[in-house]
Amino acid sequence: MRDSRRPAWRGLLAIGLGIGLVGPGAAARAAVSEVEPNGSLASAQRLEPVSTLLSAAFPPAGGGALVTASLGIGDVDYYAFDLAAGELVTAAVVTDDEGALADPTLALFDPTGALVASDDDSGPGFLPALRLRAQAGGTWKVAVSGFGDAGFTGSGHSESFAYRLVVSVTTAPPSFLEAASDTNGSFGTADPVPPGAGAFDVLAPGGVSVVTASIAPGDVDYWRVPVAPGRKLSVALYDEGGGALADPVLRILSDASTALRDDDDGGPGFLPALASTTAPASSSSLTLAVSGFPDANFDGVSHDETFTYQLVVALGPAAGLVCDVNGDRFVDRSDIDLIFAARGQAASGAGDPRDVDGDGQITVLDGRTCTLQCGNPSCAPAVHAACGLMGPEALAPLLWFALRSRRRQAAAPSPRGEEVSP
Amino acid sequence: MKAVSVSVLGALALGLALAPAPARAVSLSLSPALITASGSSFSVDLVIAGLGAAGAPSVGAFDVDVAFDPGFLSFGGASFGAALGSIPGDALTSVLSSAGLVDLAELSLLLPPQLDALQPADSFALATLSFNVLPSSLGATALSFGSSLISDAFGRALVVESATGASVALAPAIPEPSAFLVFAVGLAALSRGSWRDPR
Repeated sequence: MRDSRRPAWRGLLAIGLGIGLVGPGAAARAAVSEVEPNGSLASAQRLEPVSTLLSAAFPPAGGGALVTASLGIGDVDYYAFDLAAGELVTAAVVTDDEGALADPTLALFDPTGALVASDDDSGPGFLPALRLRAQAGGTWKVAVSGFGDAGFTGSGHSESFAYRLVVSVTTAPPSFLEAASDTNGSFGTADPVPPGAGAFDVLAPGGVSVVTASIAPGDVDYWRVPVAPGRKLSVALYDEGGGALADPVLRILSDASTALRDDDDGGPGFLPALASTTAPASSSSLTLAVSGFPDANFDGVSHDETFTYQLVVALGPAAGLVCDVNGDRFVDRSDIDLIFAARGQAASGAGDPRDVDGDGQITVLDGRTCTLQCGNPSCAPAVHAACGLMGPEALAPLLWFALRSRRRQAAAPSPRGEEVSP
Repeated sequence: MKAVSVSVLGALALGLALAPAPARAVSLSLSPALITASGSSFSVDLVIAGLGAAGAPSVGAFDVDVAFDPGFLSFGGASFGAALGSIPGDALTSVLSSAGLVDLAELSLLLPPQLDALQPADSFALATLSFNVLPSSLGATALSFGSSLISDAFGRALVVESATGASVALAPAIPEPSAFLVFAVGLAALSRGSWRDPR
């Protein structure tokens, strides 16, 4: 639903002209790939969609940026974007395993370079999530590292994983608000999530949209997102209290109104978050339902929660990480080798991880772009830190058994049962 | 009306702001451009120019086809320069040859600043190609470019505004005396000299 304070056609006209002038590449810009080197505040990779697509020319759109990237041992990734004072920024790292294995950390730096917020595990599993209202306008930075790197310098962590960074910006006042009439209270009357930064063009690699809405006792909000099969949907709710005061619940439903996933407290505090949901082949859209605990049926009947929330929706590429051709969740030389060997071939489809620029052909341009996503210098292979008993120490129990067996043999009577005189 | 104008102007400004910046144009050539092949083989450099001195843009990868007449020449081999990193540690390479066509490709694994440092000049050789002249080939032939794709350090295409091949003049081989013949003549001269010695 559009902001009722503005005539709808004005916004649509502006969007149409903007997209017409920009061309098809504009939607694709909503999802960007990591470009190394970005390992310091000074070399932070700029996230252009955040700063440009939230300009006055796009009043109805909430926006953000989705970055596909990978982190190697000793690596840290910085990204830069512009904020005006009073704007609300959320940042979250999502992985395909929803934080079951990887343990990323996240930090926000203000325009002076001061670290103003950091997080480790507020999102699903070990994933981090942050929400912050900018006290000062200027270029802010967000850093992604691994657990153990408290200074966000890259040292002290042994994590290596592929990730998607979801950054959203809500203008002040919010650029997209739920309609005052609040008629999205059922599956059949779901409002479309605004297109945001070209987020939901099914041909684009992905994008982010953010909408501000409210829940009152007995209320439930339904939002609809067009998807293509295989695309990765990340959904998170944020509120002013950081999840300390309100207890929202979240559901994802298929085209057939079937509940696919529910969450209550996967995000910060009591806030819900679903890091990575793969769009099923049978659905051309997914519907998101927001209600209050304990409304298990998402009909609004059984809750008395009151809160205002930002719903951040990110639609990622289909095949996990773009460039991760061998599917090991890390971009390294083995992936680049596969892309290089396939140059000249047609891409297998819209989600082909080898076709980064989406032109339908696998070329050296794709290969070169992917080298910038490698987690290690010169695309060296991932080195997984050995966990506890993967080295020679794993043989320690065998040694104990051997010693015990030897002692028993020594203590046993002779085979013929003869007593040995002292 | 005023509000509409603001929206329209805003959209126009956004469109212009997001319009892709014009890509840097580069040129490809084979050097030397005029080759006189009087022997059984010759070499030619694949040269890129127009990158500007120092800094970006730098070449991050290339995929270039060079065509030749298989009635006169056969492909002998190729070696790559060091401008995209050391091989095989820092770059992937590929050489594919079929009748009348050589496909050369290289992809650097280095970061953009490293490539900038390796490519300080406006022009340099990406690779060197060797060709063999088929026996009894006479006349002239040419080496020309087929499809060419040049990537900058960030995976963006650099526009190839010109691709200049090379002309090859196939001169008849000048017969050279064999080593045995030279030795025999020398030996004969020495023998004659000593026979004439009155002592």
